[in-house]
Amino acid sequence: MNSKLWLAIAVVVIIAVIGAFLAFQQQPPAQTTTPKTATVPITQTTKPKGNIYVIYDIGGRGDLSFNDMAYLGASRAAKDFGLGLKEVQSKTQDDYVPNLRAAAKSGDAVIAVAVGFLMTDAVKQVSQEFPNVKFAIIDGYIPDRPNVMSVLFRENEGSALVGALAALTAYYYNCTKVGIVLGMEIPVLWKFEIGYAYGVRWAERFIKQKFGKDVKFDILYVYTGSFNDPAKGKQAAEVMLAQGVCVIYQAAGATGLGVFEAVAEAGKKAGRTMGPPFAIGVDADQDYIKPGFILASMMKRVDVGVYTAAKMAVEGSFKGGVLELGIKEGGISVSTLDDLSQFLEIGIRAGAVKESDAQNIINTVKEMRSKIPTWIWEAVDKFKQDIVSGAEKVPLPTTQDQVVQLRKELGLGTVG
Amino acid sequence: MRRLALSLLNTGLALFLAFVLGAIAMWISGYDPLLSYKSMLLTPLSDLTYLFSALAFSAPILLTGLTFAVGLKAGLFNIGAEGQTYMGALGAVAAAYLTRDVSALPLAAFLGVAFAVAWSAIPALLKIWRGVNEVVGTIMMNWVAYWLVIMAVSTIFANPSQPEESVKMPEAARLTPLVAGTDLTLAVPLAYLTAVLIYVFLRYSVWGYRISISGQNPTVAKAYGIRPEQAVLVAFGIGALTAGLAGVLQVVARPPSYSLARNLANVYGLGFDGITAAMLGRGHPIGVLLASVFLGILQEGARHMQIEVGTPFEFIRVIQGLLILFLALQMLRKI
Amino acid sequence: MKVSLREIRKVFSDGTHALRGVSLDVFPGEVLALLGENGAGKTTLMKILSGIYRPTSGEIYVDGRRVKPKNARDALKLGIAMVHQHLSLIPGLTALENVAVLEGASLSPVSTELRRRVEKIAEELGFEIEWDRDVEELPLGMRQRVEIVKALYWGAQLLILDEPTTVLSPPEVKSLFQVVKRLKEQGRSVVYITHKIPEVMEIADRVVVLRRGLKSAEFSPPYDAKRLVEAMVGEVKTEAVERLGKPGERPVLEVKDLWVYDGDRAVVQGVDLVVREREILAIVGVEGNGQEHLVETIVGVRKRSRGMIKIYGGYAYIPDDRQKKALVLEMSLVENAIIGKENEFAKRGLISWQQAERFTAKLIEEFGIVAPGPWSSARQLSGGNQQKLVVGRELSRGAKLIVAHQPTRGLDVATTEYVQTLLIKTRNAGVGVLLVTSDLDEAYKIADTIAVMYRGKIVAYGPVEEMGIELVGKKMAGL
Repeated sequence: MNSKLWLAIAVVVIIAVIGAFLAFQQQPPAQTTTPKTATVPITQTTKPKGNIYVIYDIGGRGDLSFNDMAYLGASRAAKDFGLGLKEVQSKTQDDYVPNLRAAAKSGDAVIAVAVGFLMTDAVKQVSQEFPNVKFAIIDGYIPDRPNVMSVLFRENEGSALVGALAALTAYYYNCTKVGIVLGMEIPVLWKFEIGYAYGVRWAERFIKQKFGKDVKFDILYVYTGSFNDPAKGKQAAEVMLAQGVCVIYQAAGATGLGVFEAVAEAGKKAGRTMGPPFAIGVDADQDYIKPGFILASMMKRVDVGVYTAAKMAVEGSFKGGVLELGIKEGGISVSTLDDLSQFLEIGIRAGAVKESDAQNIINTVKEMRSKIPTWIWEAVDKFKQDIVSGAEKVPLPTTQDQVVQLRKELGLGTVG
Repeated sequence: MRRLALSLLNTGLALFLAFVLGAIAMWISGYDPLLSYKSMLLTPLSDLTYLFSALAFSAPILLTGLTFAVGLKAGLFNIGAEGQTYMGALGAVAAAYLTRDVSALPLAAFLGVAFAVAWSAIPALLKIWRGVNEVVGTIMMNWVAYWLVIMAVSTIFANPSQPEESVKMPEAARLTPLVAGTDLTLAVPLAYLTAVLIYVFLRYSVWGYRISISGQNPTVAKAYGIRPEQAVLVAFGIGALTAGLAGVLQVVARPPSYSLARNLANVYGLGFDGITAAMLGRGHPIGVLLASVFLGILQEGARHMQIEVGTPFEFIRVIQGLLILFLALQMLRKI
Repeated sequence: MKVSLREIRKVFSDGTHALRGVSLDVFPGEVLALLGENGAGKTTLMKILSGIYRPTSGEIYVDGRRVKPKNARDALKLGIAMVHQHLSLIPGLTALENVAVLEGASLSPVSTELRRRVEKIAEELGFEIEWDRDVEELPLGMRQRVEIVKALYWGAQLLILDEPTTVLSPPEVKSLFQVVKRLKEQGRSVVYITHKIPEVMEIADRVVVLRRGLKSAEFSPPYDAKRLVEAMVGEVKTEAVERLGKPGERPVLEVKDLWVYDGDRAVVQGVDLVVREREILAIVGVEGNGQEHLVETIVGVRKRSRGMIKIYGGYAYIPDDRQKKALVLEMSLVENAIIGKENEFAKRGLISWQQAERFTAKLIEEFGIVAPGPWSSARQLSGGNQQKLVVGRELSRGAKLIVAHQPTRGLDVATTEYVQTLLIKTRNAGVGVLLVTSDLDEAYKIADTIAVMYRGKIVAYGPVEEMGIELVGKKMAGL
């Protein structure tokens, strides 16, 4: 072999090692905290009574959303209850069953939490093989196993809150059009769509009451058919913006990142550093992604779900069936500045946000929020109280017919 | 004999280097390489459930690896296994959609393999008729298959009760685990048998011989009455057969879902893992078999490494990537 | 300029010992002929001198100074240039641009100054060259002249000509000799690599003979042809086999009005020929006059554009390049032995390798192939043994027609003799042979009929007795 080839090999190897090094410098710190939060107390105090197993689906950690929140909840539970934490990622769909099995076979699993509805079949199967092991599945629906707890969220409630926020903010800026961009049309997304529309109509009633004005909002919705196509999300949002929509809620996963992009671009084109137009984030606190243009985020507190499931397993109150978490249970909320700080911390650790930018982001979001009059925040809060008390019931569609009916009632309109 | 020893040595060297560099990467990132390797390589062998899981992972990789290996024999760089696997899985799903009893199983095998073969015929014919490089042709077909299958699974073949996946194989038509509580289905012996058959085909059949000759030297083949175009066609066809089978088995013989995920998560990447297996196995069917078992053990070991040591499974990818790099460099050197 | 080579050794990465310690001097104003058979190491030695190969050991001195040329450009700076057997001009550039561009350098526009100097050099040598045509369009002889001019333009004092007459017609050879003489008069040295004795006798001031990587002898005029040959090949012993009987009547190959195109160039233009039983038809001609296309069209590797080819009773094919066209070097002898007859060893689609191995062992024995064993790879065989394997395989086909394209090229004298004998024996057994060769001696030695091919056409055709050497020479040159 000649010297040039050796040189090429050496260069490639060095690049590979450095690349791996850099990649893991950024990623694992989130992971190396695992022993810190979980196993370190073990060695210092008594041996843990067992482990919490968290099994992620293919996306896994580092999504600054679902999975990272699951980790937050699990690590908090591990700390609070003196348990160890074992995280298992899945490379392919076929890893779900063996991952759950390995957790169950370990014999020290206090609870095995499957993060994500994609693992539904796998949890069904493995829970049958190991009837004495406790399982929880986030977002998956397995109602009939004594050893499986299905943790579900009432996203319709949270969507109603941000719907109200969207409509009131639009009203404040003299705009009467709001929109929602969704992913694939699957039943769970109906909750977002209908809840959002319900919140908008609630806001109309509120305005009528408070200001004696009759305002009628146009609610535009679009299913992009994809959860991982930001370009499609951007396109959908641009169409809405062109029609005069000024607040857009995204319930489309990574596709929604395009919505943020479109909204921020439109705002900057109009010479503003802050909305309107505004976007509303989903699942996690996404306010930091385009600070100043994201009004708030509808947070699905996966951390609360995981924590609650673990707590019940530890305390002995665990039972199979569905655990539904809504606003009342703290499983759903609208993002606050505190949430933002917490997420920025995760973001910095994962390398998605620069430390130096964090304070700027907080300041910008703070300033944006202060520009929205307090009566709006108070109105949303009141709406929240009414949902908690049961005075307001946000509809929960489960069938196609119901959705069609509700769309008609709530007057949703498609784009174009 | 000397050639065999030499290629074992080369493969061993590549493995050794990949593991050493992987260890360094682990060490730098703050994980214990020795414990990690112990969990990765030994735990899967310590328990029958884990071993069977490793073997279950090896089956589809082996089948797609054979696709690449047969291509190499014919002098082709056939990376179309990826898309052909999708098409195979799509065929199985179509069968599940069409019939709801045991007949779905043979129908799945037939449709899956037929789809895959039809899919491979396009780059094969493009190469023969228009001289389109097979790398370009197969990459193109991989992407077309990707979007086409996603579309089919999202629309006609969607599962109304589980939106994230296609219709499931009817219960009667599933190949369920041979040993309850493990992932060992008929897919594993079937894949291994296929490897042996491919070996016999390449080593003993007239067509296997013709493929080898025209792969090594098409000029010679042509001069003595072997038509390289036919060899290309046969090699593509055989390759599609195994890749299609991989796709079918991922649907009919992989608990618990027995369906095709809407995002293709249970077939995605198999074709490329197969290339690794084929390179590691030096293109020899039995070598590919051994390599796929090894890769299966790695994949199974990754989970135990996470659980027992807390080392992220991405290191498996680092090691596999380095392995491919070193094997590719060896191939380059030969050229 | 005096150049000295001292104890040059070269071992190639495949283990071939090409040179085993050769020392040699080249004096100014001298024409040194480097004589030897193919594979004797002549070209390797000169490639080392001209910087293309690096010696495994040994030293090079120019005017007493130790030099280590790393590439052809380095060597050229020292005044050493090589004109290769397979010319190395860049297609797509004009002749003049080819002179201007130096290996590894970028192409700069051709200046009038350069043109003037180039034309002057050409004039001094008596060359007429169409400087502004794409070199690809130039005849091979003219391309060779371009290379010579290029070497001189860049200041070469020592010119190495590697088998320069292979691509030339007899008149062109004559004028090449004139050029060599003129170069000598200019005080330059010429190393003339060849295996053709008559050429050596005509122009060499001194002859160094290489054999199997060693210097076997050195001669100065007057030369004795017989001693030259002996130094080159060792002892010559020939078992002469005569052609017996007249050619038969029944044809084994008929070609009528055959046209073959390479791109839009007609390389075979309306060839008619017939090979009969018990006949060796030799097609002679300077290489590159369409022979290759003719042969490869007959055996079906190339497509014909027009015309008819009829083969009666199957054919066997011995291609001109055994390593590229006849053997798969990476594969075993057994696998190579059954190419094109794999069906004979197969039952229900499966090949019996035992049977194939027995067949190969028989070939090895019958044709005296020196091989480690039937399962060793074809690459491990020497060139001569590779050719014996090819010839053995082809003769064992039992075909009525044998198409033999340069069957003895690059073989040592003994193997050449052996292959020629085999062809005659086969012919005597009633088989027809189409022999395409550029070696006139071979043609006259074994052929019944001789045809001359020139620019894609058969320009002369007749029984060997009627085809005098002068006539054939003239026709080969297109006169």
